[in-house]
Amino acid sequence: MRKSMYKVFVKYLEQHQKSHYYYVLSFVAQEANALDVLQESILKGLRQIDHLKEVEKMNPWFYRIMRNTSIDFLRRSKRVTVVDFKTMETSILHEDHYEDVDLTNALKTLTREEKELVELKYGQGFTFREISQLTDLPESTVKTRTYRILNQLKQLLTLGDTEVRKS
Amino acid sequence: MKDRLNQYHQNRKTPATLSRMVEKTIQKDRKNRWYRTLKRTGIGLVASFSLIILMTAHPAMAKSLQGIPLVGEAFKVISIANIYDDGSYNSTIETPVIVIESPSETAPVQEPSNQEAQVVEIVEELNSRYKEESQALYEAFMAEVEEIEANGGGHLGVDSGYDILTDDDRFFAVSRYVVNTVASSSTVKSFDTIDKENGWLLTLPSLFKDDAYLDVISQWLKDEMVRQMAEDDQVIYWVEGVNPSFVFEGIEANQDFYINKDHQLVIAFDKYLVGPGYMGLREFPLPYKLLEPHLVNPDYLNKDL
Repeated sequence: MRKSMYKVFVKYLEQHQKSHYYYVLSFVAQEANALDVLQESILKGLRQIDHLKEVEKMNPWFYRIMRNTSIDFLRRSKRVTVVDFKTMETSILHEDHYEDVDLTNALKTLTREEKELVELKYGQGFTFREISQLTDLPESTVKTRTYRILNQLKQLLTLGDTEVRKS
Repeated sequence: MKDRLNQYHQNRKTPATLSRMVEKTIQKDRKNRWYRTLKRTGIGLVASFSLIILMTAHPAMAKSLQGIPLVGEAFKVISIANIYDDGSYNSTIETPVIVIESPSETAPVQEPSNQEAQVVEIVEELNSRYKEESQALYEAFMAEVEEIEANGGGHLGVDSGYDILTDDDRFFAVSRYVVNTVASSSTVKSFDTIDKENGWLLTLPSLFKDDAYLDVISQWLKDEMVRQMAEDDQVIYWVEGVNPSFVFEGIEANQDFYINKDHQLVIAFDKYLVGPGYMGLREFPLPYKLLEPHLVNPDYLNKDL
């Protein structure tokens, strides 16, 4: 029973690694940091998986581990995180060419909490209820915030579109 | 807007190293997992039935129950080895069996003293615990082999055995180790010390009057770690300011320990607990002066060290 839970979890980690990576990335912004934090989360998860009783709870349970590990990481590195402009520029250039550059830049204006919301809702297809459970925010707050962010992004993009008209 | 966001998220690329990292991390955990399983099952086992098996299997020990003077006798330790090797997977699990021998076969049978009876009891308890743990280790090893096989095969090595650290009139101390080799090796040790004179299996708290020893020893260890680091720049401990994510905060109430040949109290740490992996297992013999005010019995340890 325990053994199989471990196996299910290993399979889950392999299958959903991209989503996990992006979720963590929404906190820590840089690739190398995201990989580190995800690795730490995986180790924590593997170590604790035997205490998980129901397979259905695996997803929210592991998202919580990733969330806590990411927040811990941010707290730890608060004093030393310096994103200089050079790294930012190269990291933008490095991302895929046919990507929506305007949106990428607009998303960069969001706060940490807002990025997490967008990631969960539009990157991972979480329901408002699931987001509310994970973030400990009331469902109504999650909804209002999401719509506010959508509006904010829309405005930023219309502004960008009229200034530099690109097809 | 929502479509654009969805579209954006679908088009993202992940770093090429992601899947390798995930795979490596799982592999790394897998090789530690069987040991965790062992720890968990090892604790829950009650060994009353194997005690009987052991006693009948080793007549020398059964005899010892009939009352043979023990104090001052060196214990005899024999070992039972379980060896498994098929090229990819190998394990050598050596189990110590402590045998208390009669001084002479013709010695008259006499009632054992209380202390002697207690020593016999402790020895039996240890023997059966060692046997149980070896059994659990072997089962965990085989289960692990099965799992590795099911996942495409690999290598696994387990080596377990023991060292007699002290065996004199007063104390008997044994350490047992498990070496787990896959990519890098990791060793885990555990210790047992018997006070032959009083018939006690020692625990760390039992040596001290109260909990004050925890802080006293922890502080001394921290100072000692700093001192050793200043002396040799190859030496690194997780003292304050060295590694922000791991700081050695102090010993636990039941920290690994033993009493060495010189009758010093030695505190032991498994790999990774107080320093980076390359530092290995660390042991610290404590100075008598430090412990004296806190000891239940000041005559217990060597006063000159």
